[in-house]
Amino acid sequence: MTRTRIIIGITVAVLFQTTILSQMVLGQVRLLNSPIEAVLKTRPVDPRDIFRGDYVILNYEMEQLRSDQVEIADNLKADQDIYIVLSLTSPYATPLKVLASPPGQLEAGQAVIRGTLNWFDGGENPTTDTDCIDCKNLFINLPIDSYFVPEGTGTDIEEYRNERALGVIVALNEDGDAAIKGLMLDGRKVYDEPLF
Amino acid sequence: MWGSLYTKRLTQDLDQWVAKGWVTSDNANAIRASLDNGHAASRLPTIISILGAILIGFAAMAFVAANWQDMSKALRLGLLFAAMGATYGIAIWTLLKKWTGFGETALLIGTGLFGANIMLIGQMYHLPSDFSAGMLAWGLGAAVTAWAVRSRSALIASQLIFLSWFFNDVFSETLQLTYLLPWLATTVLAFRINWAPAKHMTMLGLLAWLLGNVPVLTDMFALGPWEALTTVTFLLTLAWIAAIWGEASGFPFARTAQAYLSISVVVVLWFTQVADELVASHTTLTALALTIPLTLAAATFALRNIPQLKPLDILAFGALPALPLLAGFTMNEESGPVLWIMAPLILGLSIWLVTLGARQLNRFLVNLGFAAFGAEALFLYFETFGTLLDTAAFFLIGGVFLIAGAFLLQRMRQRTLPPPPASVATEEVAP
Repeated sequence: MTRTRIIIGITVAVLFQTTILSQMVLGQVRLLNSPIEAVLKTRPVDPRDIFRGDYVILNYEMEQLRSDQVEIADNLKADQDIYIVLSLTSPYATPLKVLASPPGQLEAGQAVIRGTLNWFDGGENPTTDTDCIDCKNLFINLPIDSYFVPEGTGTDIEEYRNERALGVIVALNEDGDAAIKGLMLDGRKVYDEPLF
Repeated sequence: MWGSLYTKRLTQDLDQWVAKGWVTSDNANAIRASLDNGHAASRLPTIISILGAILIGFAAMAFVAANWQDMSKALRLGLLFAAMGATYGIAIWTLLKKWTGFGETALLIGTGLFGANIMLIGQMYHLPSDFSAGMLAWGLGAAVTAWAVRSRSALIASQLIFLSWFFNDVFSETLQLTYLLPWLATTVLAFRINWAPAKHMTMLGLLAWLLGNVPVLTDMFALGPWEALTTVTFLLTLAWIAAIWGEASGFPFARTAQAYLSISVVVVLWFTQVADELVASHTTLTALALTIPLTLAAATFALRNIPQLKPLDILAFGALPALPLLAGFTMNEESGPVLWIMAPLILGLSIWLVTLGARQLNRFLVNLGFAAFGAEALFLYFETFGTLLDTAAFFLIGGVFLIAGAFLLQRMRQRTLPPPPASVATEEVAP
């Protein structure tokens, strides 16, 4: 291999890898700079699966929705992207409706977050384990499911989360992409993520 | 260490070969001189440095779990990019100095750091735990490095990363066709730089992809388990036929590909006779009606001009996909496939492999045939006598059976394979 080939080849490789890493960073920075902000309420999860190393597994109340609580589109399929329209008028964001496609123009005090529909029941196979027998139940994954914390502090956050006192501040853009900006405990901001 | 042992052994052998007149003194001296140029011993530092590279890679990844909150994000990002850049700088320097082994090691560390950086940035910005996307990005970075500088270490790393990426998604319900793109890119490079380990990874990747997609294919085409096994055998047989044709046409690596494909076919077919848990439902004649004529047509078309092969071989290739379906059709729902039907067929297949290998001068096929024959004989012994004899007699007869079998196999193997070319050398060298 010639001298030129070695230098140009490795430069190309470094540029390619640097571009991928930079894209990861800039994409998140752009999202965190978004003026749209929502606080999402967490919910407890199975305590055997909650803590892996030094990050907290986050589950949100709005990851399990019922058709008597929110308006749910009819044409949803498992494993597809779904869009939850949120109301931002109260301290914690509340879901208004679940759509199969982006909502377009939103009203003032509303935002949208994109998730994946894990599965749903109801309709053809109505569930009987809730108050609402004929309701459709949605089980959703939001792509903000882990939060890395300083070593040794994860357990404290887990406890707050299991007491339902933990809120997650997320930045949102018009497409429904979300990034974690910080954490709130008992209505107080405890972690604030710097951009750099 | 191995290099010095090899040198010692070869030096002793050369003395004997010169004394017997097989090798001239001049040639022996030339061989000894080639051993002294340091090539044989030069691999050890490279191997040690590669092990060091792997340790450094693990150290970087262990950083994920470490507490580095005291640093600002900008400083952390600077560290990550600087470490990666410095490593590639060292790679340029060592490769320009013609220290290829150390250069490859630096490229491997750089590739490892790139993967670690993906994880660390994901951690810093709390990115969703999308393992699949991270692995794909890592594999692409490694593949670009491999292509850009024809790096062996980056190539093998990218092959392993892409394989892990595929395995992560293999349990999804859709056919994983996207793996074939990076597989093709790394395969082309493996053949361009003509490096055997990467070529072997190519074959392993293809077989893993094929076998990993079997459950999805089964669901997609609503196949029963036996039809799925038939389809897998059919696809492997087609690839095997293509490899034989490739060898006859002078394609490199075609013989090694035959080894992988033939052993895969034997394993799948052997599995059919012990697949007690597969039910006989959904077994139809459709697969039989499709796969046998297609295999026969492919074998006839591809192998008709290869003088070492006979019409019987073409028929045997055509019959291979029928074996799983036969097992499925004749199986007893409680005890599984019928032994007296499947065992003679597997033994027949083993003997055919030996004869095919002998005619092709393919030592691997001959050995595979004998190994399959021995394994089947042992299986039959366990199946038929294991329940009849008490434990001591079972092991005694089994031991005698194994020793006798090994002796018989070795005698048969010696008769089947052509003699080593030593006598030719004697004729040419002897005065």
